[in-house]
Amino acid sequence: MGYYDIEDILADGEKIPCKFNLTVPGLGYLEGSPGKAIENGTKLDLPMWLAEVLAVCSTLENTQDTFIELLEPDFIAPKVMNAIRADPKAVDLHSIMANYYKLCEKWSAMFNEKQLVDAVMVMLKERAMEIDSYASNATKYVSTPFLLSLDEFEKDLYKVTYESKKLMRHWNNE
Amino acid sequence: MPSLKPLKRTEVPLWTAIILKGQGKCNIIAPAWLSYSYLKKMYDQEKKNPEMFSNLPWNWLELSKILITKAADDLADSSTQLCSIIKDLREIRQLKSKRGLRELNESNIQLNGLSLMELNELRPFVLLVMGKMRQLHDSVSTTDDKASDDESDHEW
Repeated sequence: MGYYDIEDILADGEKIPCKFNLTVPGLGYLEGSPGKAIENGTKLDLPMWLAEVLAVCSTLENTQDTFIELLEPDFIAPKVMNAIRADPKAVDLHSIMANYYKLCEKWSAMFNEKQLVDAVMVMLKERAMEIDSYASNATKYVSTPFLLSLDEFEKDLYKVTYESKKLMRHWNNE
Repeated sequence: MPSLKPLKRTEVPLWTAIILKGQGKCNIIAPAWLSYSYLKKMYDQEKKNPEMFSNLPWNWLELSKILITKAADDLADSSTQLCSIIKDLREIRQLKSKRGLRELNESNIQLNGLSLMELNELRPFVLLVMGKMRQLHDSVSTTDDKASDDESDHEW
């Protein structure tokens, strides 16, 4: 966490789908037609940091209209959430979103999604226990599909846990 | 430092005792808990109460390791016997603490009776997971929650 946290920066750069609420002249290059205007109602993937601001700021001082409207991104689509509820350990988080937890955090901070957070917390606990048991493995090379499905935070968790167990073993045997 | 006389029991810091022991100038009197029978009793207790950690000194792992490597001849039981019962104890306790981790949440964790070294082993893992849970939890806190959070901050 913090200004220089690379994970935070990368998570901010993840693109999420949005819909434009008004026509903007000259922004056409965003969808591959430079020089033209971007039409009202165009759907486009914008990075989180940009979408966040545009979806919150109103176009004029005394209106509720915002520049864009956020659409439901893939990472919280019902299909994904069902998979997470069914078996947290079998979900390939890394391919869904490399910074899954960060993104969920940002998303629920914007929309106050209590349900999403609850589901993600249950998943985090389940997966953390699994990571813990893989990290106890003393051999150097572990190859299971599960370890390839970790998101960036979980990878970090795995590394740290593995390291602490290694140090403990080292102390024990020295 | 008390005056050291031959054949007299004196209490000195462990590091002094180890140095003197290394020079062949003293025998170390092992703590009462560092015996096969006592540890075996603890092991049976651990087995009987799956929800509780038995009462061992705060740094039993460190002390037993030092005494077994540096002063094995002063211990009542053979070091292999001690090593194996310590290992058994450690394993059963690890299993329990792992089960305790299933109860992790964003605000607190209770692991009564766990010793220093065992806590240190868990610390990095628990810190990261709880930190993440707290962040997730905080991202949706309603205004009510925030108010009570502020209050508890003041108490700290």
